[in-house]
Amino acid sequence: MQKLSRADKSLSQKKRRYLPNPRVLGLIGFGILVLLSVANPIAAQIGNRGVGNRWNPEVRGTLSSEWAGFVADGSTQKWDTVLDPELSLDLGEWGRFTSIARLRIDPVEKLEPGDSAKNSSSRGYGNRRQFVGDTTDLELREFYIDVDIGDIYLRAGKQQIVWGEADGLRVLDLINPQSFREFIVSDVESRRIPTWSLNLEIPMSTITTQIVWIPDHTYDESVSANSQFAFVSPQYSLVLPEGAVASGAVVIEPVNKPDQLLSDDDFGLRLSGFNKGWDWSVNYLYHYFDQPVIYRRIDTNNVLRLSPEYERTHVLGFSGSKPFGKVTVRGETAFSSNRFFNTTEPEDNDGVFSTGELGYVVGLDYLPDGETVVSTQVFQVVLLNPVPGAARETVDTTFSLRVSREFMNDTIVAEAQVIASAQGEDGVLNLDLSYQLRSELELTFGVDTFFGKKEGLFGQFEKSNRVSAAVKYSF
Amino acid sequence: MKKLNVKRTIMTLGLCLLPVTLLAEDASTMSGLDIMQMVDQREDGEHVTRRFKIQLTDKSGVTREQDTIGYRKYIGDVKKNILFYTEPTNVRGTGFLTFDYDETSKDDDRWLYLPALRKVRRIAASDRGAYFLGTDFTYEDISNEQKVTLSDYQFNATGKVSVDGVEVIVVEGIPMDESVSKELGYSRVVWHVDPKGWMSLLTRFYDINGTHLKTAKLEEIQEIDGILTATKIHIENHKTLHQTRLIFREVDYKTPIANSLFKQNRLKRGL
Repeated sequence: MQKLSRADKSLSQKKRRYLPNPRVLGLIGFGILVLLSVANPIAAQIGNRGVGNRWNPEVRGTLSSEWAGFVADGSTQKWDTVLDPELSLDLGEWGRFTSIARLRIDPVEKLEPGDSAKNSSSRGYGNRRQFVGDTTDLELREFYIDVDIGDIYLRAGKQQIVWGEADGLRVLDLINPQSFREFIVSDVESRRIPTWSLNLEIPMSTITTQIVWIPDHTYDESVSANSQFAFVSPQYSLVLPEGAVASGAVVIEPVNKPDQLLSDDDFGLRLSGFNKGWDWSVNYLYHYFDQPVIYRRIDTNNVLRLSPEYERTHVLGFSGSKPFGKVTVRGETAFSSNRFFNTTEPEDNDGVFSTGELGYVVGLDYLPDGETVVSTQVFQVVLLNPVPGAARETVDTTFSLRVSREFMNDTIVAEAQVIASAQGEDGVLNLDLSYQLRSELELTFGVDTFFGKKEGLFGQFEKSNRVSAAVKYSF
Repeated sequence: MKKLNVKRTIMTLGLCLLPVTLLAEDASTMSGLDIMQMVDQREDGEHVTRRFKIQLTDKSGVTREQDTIGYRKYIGDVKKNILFYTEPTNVRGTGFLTFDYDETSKDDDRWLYLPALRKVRRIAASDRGAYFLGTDFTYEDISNEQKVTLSDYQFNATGKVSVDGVEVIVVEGIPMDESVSKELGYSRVVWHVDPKGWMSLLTRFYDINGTHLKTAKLEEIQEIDGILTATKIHIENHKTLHQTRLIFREVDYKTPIANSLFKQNRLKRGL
């Protein structure tokens, strides 16, 4: 069988004639941020002189450095230094402006080796990272204004919008795409890719209506085949039928990426409320699924052509949570009208199979005392029709268990989490210990261990098992 | 039209009348329950906005400081509180919302927003004796704001002593039963109530084994907008030798607070 990893599918983008260079735009944004950062102490001095400090600029941020080494041989997997400066301005009756940038330097180059990340086509206009060499990247993470119009609230700009109740596993949390740079072992905040969006919240009696418009065509950011966390399992890679093309010639077409304003944008609607002790929400999202599906065809020259495309789906779901004594029950479910999968069936004309999908998660959080949390989740995805000739199971079940405990007035937090797949008999174990040495200084130690079948979602990364240590300074 | 909170109005009227009654009799003739009822009915305003600094000092003397802004409002029979951490950066954006119900059999509702997760999490509220976000105050201590849930204890006035030159009435409270004791984490609480303002200037807490666990002291009391307000509170845990000091400023009982502030969605936005 011929096998292509997901990263091989990421190809050059279509040229966008009507848009200015996003690199220039990103650099201008970053420059503004730096200038405003410098302006803060100056503004403070002016304020002290009594001239006034109209925008009340605030600059803060974090500087962190994390080392991770392979469990197998102790060699270095990453040693990144990350600066996240944040600027906020008070716009008076106009609201508040917030901007968060990120500068990351990782000279080890095992997570995104060479220039692989530069060539990624998954990011949309105005959402691309800027690279300095192969080891440094700059990103405008968030850039938005908050405006209150009476009781109506608007956040416009680059932001994260989070739906759902699940931890670590995504059912309703579909608005922002994800980065797979470190699969799921980096923190959630870093994995989620903020997108340019409009988020409107309108309270009406006891119900709040949220309307979301996402004109940013950014999708999941996969990594190249030579990256440490590249998907290698057949279940998560494209597998072509045996003898798909007699000549053996295969051409990978450029990604057919949605690029039309409005007609290709994502839209969401959420109603939420609090009744009889229940927090609830009903969610609808009309969006492009964040990973492309690969269409195949054999042309007149007997060449197999593979065309990656993003496909749209309607998602309808709901979530709820309520405590019962020391236990909080929470859950969410989502039905996707169409999910697209590659099939190895030779008879299939385009190699793509579509079916509805139901996903849900039920979680219990138990607080035996004020310092300890025991949290467990069952996560299940059910395909309404089996995918012919695919390794994908019709029912996919995952369990998670997290135990965390705080010590010494919350200055020390120890946490253990295991996520295990029922089908693949594989999983991942994360152990974390953090110590708040001072208000501005935190030390963290961790172990991330993948185990089980190498064909499984988690087991395929067993070679990446690692220990880590990090220091984070807040200012 | 503003709804009239009948229960609170009756309580306020009662407070206005009671001191007159009490002047006529010696406060020392009051029972422990009478005294703690006065403490519980002390005027604390229909709503309040305040900033407060949390100083956390460990046994080696290292102090961490956190700044917050909090709002509290009685809406119907529910006391609603929302709190946002503003400093330092590592906790900034953390938000905490509580609904405290008059009905004692009904657990409070609590939500916590952690910026790192970008999610509002529902928290079980049955464990009232759990410590509040790294401080030496329990959720119950924080929620009651120097008051007491009367149905939790049997009270007994044991005499008068002097605290920092102020004559106070000593009231001992024993939890009603074992389950309340376990829930609160106390086997006994001793209040030192100043009958002039009906505040406990000094409170000693004993753990479920009877060991002296904590001592809370009101270090500063001010009259703000006509309401007696503890503006500096210190508490020390004698087991861990950890201390917490709350320093209140910009306390405002007058500026109206919109009901819409006390919503789960608001936690995500911060201030």
